[in-house]
Amino acid sequence: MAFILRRLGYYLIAFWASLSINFMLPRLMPGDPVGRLLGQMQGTLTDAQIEQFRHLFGLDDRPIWLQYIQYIQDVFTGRLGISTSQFPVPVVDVIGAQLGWTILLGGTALLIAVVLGNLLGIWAAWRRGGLLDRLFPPLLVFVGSFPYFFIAMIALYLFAVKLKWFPIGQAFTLGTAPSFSGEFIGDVIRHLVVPAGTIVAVSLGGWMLGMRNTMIGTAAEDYITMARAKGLREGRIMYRYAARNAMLPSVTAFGMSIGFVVGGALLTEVVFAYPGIGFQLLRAVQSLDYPLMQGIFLTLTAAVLVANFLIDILYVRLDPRVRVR
Amino acid sequence: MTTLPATAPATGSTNADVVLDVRNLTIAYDVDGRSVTAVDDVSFTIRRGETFGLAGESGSGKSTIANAILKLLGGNGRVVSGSIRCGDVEIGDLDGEELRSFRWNRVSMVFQSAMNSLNPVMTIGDQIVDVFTTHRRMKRAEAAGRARKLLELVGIDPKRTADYPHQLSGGMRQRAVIAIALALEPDLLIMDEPTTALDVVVQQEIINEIKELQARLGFAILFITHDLSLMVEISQRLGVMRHGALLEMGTSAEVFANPKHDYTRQLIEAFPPVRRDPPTVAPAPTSDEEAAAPRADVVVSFQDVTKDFAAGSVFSRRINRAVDKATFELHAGEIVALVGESGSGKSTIARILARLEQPTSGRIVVGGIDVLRDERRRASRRYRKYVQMVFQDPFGSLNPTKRVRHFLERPLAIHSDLDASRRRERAVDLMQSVELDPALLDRHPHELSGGQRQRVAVARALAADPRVILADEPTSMLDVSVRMGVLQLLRRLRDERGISILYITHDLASARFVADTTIVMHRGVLIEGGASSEVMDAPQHPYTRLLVSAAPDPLRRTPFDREERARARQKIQAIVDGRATAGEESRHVFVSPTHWIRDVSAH
Amino acid sequence: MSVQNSGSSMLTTTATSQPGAPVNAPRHRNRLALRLLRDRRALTGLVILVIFVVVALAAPLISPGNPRSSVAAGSESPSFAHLLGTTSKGEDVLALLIWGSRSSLGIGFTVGALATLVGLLIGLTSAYFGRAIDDFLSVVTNIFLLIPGLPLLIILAAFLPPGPGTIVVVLVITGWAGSARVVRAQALSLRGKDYIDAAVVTGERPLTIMLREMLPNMASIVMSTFLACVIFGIGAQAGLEFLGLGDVSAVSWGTNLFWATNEGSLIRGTWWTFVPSGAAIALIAFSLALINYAVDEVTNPRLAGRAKRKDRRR
Repeated sequence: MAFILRRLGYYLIAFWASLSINFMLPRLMPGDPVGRLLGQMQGTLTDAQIEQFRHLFGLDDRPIWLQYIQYIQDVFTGRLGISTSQFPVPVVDVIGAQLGWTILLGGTALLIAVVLGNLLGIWAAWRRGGLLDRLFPPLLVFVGSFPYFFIAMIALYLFAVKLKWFPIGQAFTLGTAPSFSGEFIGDVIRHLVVPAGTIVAVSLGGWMLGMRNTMIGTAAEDYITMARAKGLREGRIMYRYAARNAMLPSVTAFGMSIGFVVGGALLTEVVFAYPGIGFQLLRAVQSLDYPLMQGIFLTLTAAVLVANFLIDILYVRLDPRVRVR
Repeated sequence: MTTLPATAPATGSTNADVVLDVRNLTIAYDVDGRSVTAVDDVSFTIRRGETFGLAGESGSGKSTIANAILKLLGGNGRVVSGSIRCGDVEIGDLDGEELRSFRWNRVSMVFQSAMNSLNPVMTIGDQIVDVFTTHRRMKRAEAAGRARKLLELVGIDPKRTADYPHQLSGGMRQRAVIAIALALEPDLLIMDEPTTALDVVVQQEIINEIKELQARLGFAILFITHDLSLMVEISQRLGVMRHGALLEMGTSAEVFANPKHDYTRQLIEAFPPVRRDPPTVAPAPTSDEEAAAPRADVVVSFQDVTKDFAAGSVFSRRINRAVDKATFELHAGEIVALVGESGSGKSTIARILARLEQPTSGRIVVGGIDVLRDERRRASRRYRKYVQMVFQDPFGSLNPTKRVRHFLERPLAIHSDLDASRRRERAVDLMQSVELDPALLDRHPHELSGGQRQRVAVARALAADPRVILADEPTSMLDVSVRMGVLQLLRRLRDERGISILYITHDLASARFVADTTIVMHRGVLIEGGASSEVMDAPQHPYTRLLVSAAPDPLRRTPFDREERARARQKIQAIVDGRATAGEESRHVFVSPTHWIRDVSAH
Repeated sequence: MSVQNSGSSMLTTTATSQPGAPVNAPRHRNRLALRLLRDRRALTGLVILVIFVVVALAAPLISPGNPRSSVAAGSESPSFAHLLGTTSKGEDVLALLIWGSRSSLGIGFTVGALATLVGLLIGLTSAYFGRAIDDFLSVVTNIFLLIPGLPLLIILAAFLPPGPGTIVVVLVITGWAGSARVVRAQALSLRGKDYIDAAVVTGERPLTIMLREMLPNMASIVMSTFLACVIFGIGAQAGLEFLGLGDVSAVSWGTNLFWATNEGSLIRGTWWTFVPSGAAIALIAFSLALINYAVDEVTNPRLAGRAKRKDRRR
């Protein structure tokens, strides 16, 4: 219990830190950002927008601590500002519309990569020197060396442009109305295969190697020798004794890597024009839509922290040494 | 109630009586391409219901034999020649499914470290059930019932089947492992150093429980240990191994009384007796004797030193009192042994004296410096020169990336004003004074044996030219045959240079051998102290009596009585509980001018 | 934290997930360099790395002209005149590739060195002094580990003026925490060793102990961390530039990819404009990962398949 509370504390502090970074950054920018913005947008801003920017950059006349408190209040009531590139849609709405796609893409890829990667790692470790152990690790390390977005580009080029097996980007065929019909879902899946596939391909190596190394370490433990001495079946030893213990560091690593996967998913979305948050973020950056950028940052951070917290709870359930004193 | 001797058949062993028959067994390992012989033409038999011991140091091959019986040699070990027969089964022929079903049914094993051999994420109940569901095709419910009965058999509350290994104490865990080993009622139980990691008192209790179980269930035991005294107590016959060969074999009493090999003699001498004379009835002090006159050559003085550790998180702070008003003195040229079990606080006292821990309260005077008053925050250079330390783990106390030369020349650089070439010369002198070849100066620690490393550690301590050396269990991680050498070295240093030594140990026998004065520590309190011979021949405090009687004794002069042991434990617990409510000052009661005890209010 | 989940970020999982894992550097430390060279993987990685470094340094000499000048018609496929073809603006792709290596490798190694240095400093201090200092530094490290890397990178890069300095600063800010955590775990296990206590009892000063007693035992971890940070630096820089957040007028592999996408080479099928730069990033990341992998295997005795010694006494 104390463990959970301590982790919760960490996450709250981390969130507060990212809030503060978000708050400080625009105020730290040198020069006159609003002026620059005006220059870039070439005078297409309305007075309301200019006012919002002054507010955003802290150039209005409120004292800074007041701005800070109001800012925190705003965040927790969901008032993340108004998107300048999609004026006058509030940031929250923009994010809300796209978040689901990112979760679909990232979540699917993560799930497949984790399950497959860990299983491969377990099998590879159990038969050291076997085909799986010798072939896959270097191959996957090689694939994993490629930047996410580059693999995405290659995959897009190969499978969509050249071979035309899969559609070129997007989440579903443009123009069709979203629904829960089998046809639409099939369409979504077809559009999901290549983007999710690239994320899986690049991250698989990490999971497999991590699990493999941990398993090798675990397999050398005394309780595995004793399990064998007890005359238990190989399968039971591999799963219930070895893997069950090797899992624990994997779960911890899983939590840490969610941040990575978010990054990977973002980049993949950009290449495939997949309408998720990553794609939104890029558009926001290109159009200097600061409120939207900051809103996305906060949302992603919150999502990662929540995910980590859930992983911690899972870990407590899995490791009796932490659960019961 | 007397001890239950495990009976061995007197004459003529028929085939049915022989549980294990090892003949001309030779085993080799492949290490880095070379073949290393671990077991060399060893033969012995074990009969039904008897306990056979294999004694030897690490590398002698005894554990290899144990592993070979269950075919657990691992990838690079193989049986070169010879046979191991268990009844009518030739173990070398077993493979695959046959091997799997053979294991644990006829022969099972208790490993050295119970903590490491239990799966940390499974309840101990499940780990027993596993055995039943695999070998007997039982339903889980029935297996769970059997598991509870087994725990009861070994003295664990059956409700604890739902506990995880880390929730049990060390002794409990070892009992649990024994329960697992007995689940299928094997003919032979192999025990590989089963009590080495346990406290002496718990060790004795478990050994006796094993003997009782053996008498009840009738299994044979192959008992492996390096502790020859313990082995003589528990086994009827034993063999002594060295470098893979079986040097001699016979009935325990015979081998102990008349060893044929020098090596065996060496092993026996490595365990000097704790008590020289027959036990005396402890005289109750009718009145306070006078303390001996205070001596002038006090080198270290502890007065009411207390150390508390805070444990737990912000939410639940617990205070753990590791050292409770410790008071003692160390005189010039004296060797004082501080004896206690793990968790008694003895290492904490050493660390406080080494200024690695800061005491919570009390007064410490070292070499005339009132330490806590004059140099509270950091130890002065003068202090560091005065007090040096030798650590327990010869592997861990020398930086693996440095050469031996470094360990000797650094203290010289800090504490003396010799120039570089003089320091080199001194390093050679130091090596010689610890009986090491100066050629080793350019080696790295991993190229030295454990005993050599410990001598380097002593040389390092000497380099600063100290007045006090703290030796924290310096021999407990060394091989038995090497221990004596190191202890004799310490004694010689005292004789030649007048250095005072505080010798921390859990082993009464070595304390008696090397120290003039012995102080016994229990749960943070120094409960008894005095001349070593007096404390061990006539112990006053119930805990000291317990320690003395629990020490392995080949001649077993005081038989083990379970009820008496339980009574002694209760008495000690009452004393511990009473400490909390006792007055602020607990006095030293003097039994003789040099023998005091403390906090026995009931006396 | 890397934008690309390269294999080696998980390869060092052995060190991070088991902080107590012993560094067996001492046993073969003297022969570590030799063993590495004999290991085929390490050798391959080293050779590739050296080739890249040489190309980067010798760019002015080997490159076929100024990368930014338009030397031919747009989007020509590879030919003898232009070995890797041209971009839609008519720039020689090979020249872009060679010149790009300077920026990518330069920033990559700088980021790697700085992130390792910061991580080392914080990790060592945290482990040596313990208690309050450790608590505080750990909280800071954990915060930076938790906040997702790419979004933070983007936010930081968006608000700061574009240029190599910004990129380095931003990458170090997001990257130091990983090395700090690994270093701290390793240093903590060393701190608890008797030989550190022995050095204290001998009378050595804290700084001497940290640098002369602890650091040499961490050699392989430091090298491993450095390599991982360089991989992170190169990859993350490429990622940032691909998104258009770097200095788009500079020549680097990332900006090459940015322009390639911008000019729609994916759709148009002009694969030669993006494949070389991406392959270069992959190749160098792979070579570093190979070296890292080999270091890991050589120094961690369990992975090398050695028989475990159960009885430590000798």
